[in-house]
Amino acid sequence: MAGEKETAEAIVSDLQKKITEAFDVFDHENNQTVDVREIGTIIRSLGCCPTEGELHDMLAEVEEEEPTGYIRFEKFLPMMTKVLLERRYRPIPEDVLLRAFEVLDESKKGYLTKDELVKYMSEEGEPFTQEETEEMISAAVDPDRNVVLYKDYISAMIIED
Amino acid sequence: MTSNRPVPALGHPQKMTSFPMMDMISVCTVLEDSLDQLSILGYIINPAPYSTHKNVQWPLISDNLKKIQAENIKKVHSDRQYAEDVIMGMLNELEDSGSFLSLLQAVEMEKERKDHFHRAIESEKEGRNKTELLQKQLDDIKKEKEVELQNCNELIAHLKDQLQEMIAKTNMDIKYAKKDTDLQIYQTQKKCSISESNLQQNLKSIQNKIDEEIRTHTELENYQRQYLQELEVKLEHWMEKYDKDVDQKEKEIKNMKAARDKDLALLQTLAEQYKEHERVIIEDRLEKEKARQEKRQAQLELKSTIKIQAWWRGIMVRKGLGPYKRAKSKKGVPCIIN
Repeated sequence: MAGEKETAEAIVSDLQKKITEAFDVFDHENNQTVDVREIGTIIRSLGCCPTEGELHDMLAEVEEEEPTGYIRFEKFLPMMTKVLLERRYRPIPEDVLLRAFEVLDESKKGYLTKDELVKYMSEEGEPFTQEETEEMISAAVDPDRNVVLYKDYISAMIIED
Repeated sequence: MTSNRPVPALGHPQKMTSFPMMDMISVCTVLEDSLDQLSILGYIINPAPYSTHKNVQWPLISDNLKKIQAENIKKVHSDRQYAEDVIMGMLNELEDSGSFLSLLQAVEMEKERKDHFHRAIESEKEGRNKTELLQKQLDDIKKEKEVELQNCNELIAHLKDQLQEMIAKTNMDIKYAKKDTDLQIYQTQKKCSISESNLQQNLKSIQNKIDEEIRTHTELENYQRQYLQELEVKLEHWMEKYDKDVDQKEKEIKNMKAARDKDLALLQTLAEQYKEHERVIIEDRLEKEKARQEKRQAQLELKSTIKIQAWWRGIMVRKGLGPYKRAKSKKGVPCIIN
């Protein structure tokens, strides 16, 4: 029992160390705060994949009562520790992702055209910025056929991971 | 006897009768003496039965005589007589003719008599043997017959016993049968009387029942007649009512038919309306379903899009792509958890 508790504590301290390191990257003024806009990047760099909506919920939890545009480390650390311990916002598994692409591929062709991809990503859901969209096109679109063979694309990304 | 002697026989004694005169005289003398002696003996023997005890002059002879039985005496007497006769005859012949043929004849005759006698004895003996044998056979047969008789007697006794027994048994049987029959008759009589009385009773009760039935029947008949009358009245009433009712009902049927026709027409129009409404409703439902499907599809697409976007943002951060290149170049720690 004691051993387990010790390991649990060890895991917690390990996680907190990682969170601290990630936070520090964006703490440009070294005053234990980061820009509110960088929080998403920090969370994602810690291996989570929240949606913009979920990110918004998390921010609401750690923001000051009077929004200052900055997030304090002492608020961020317990929230993030809890999220990581509970293993929330885990990266979406390959099969779920594949099914999501298949939903978009309404006529079940096995691929999406570049226009379809651009339309869905920049107009639907939580739209990509121009930059994000371009980045995705460059990674996903087959230059020869000008289509997204999404199965291959997912595999490639997951393997690179 | 001598006188009747046949002539041829005379020749033979003449041959032998060549007695000298002297011899002949001596022989005659001897013969005369023998005759005398014989006659004396005859005198002695004849009175013997009366003078045996008194005459003691001849003790020897009288002793012998005592022993000789009456028959023997008689025989001796006859023998003596015979001898006397023979000698007398011979003497006479000798004196007459000097021959003794009579003696020879007498001897022959005697011989013959003796033979005859012997034969008689023998035949008598044979007869006696035969008689004995027959007697014996007779005895045997007698014995046999006696045994048979005894057996028969026994059988008769046995049969008599049996007869007695049978009679006794038969008597007993007869007695028993008679008793039994008497009892049976008595029993049957009793039974008959009982059943008779029962039947009598039955008869009485049945008679009573019949009477009752007859009474009931008449009552019922009366009642039914009455009832029939009532029914006839009712029937008349009902017939009238029936006619009236039929008329009325026919009228009603007519009315109802008309109403039914009207209703059918209404039903037709209503059915048409219903069909149309149904079609409209189905269309509406299909449209709604389609809309719901589209909405679900849109939601699914939205969710999927958000998932892909969230994933890609994570990938970009962790791989330092696009807008996050800056972060990489600045601090060189692009991804902590990998």
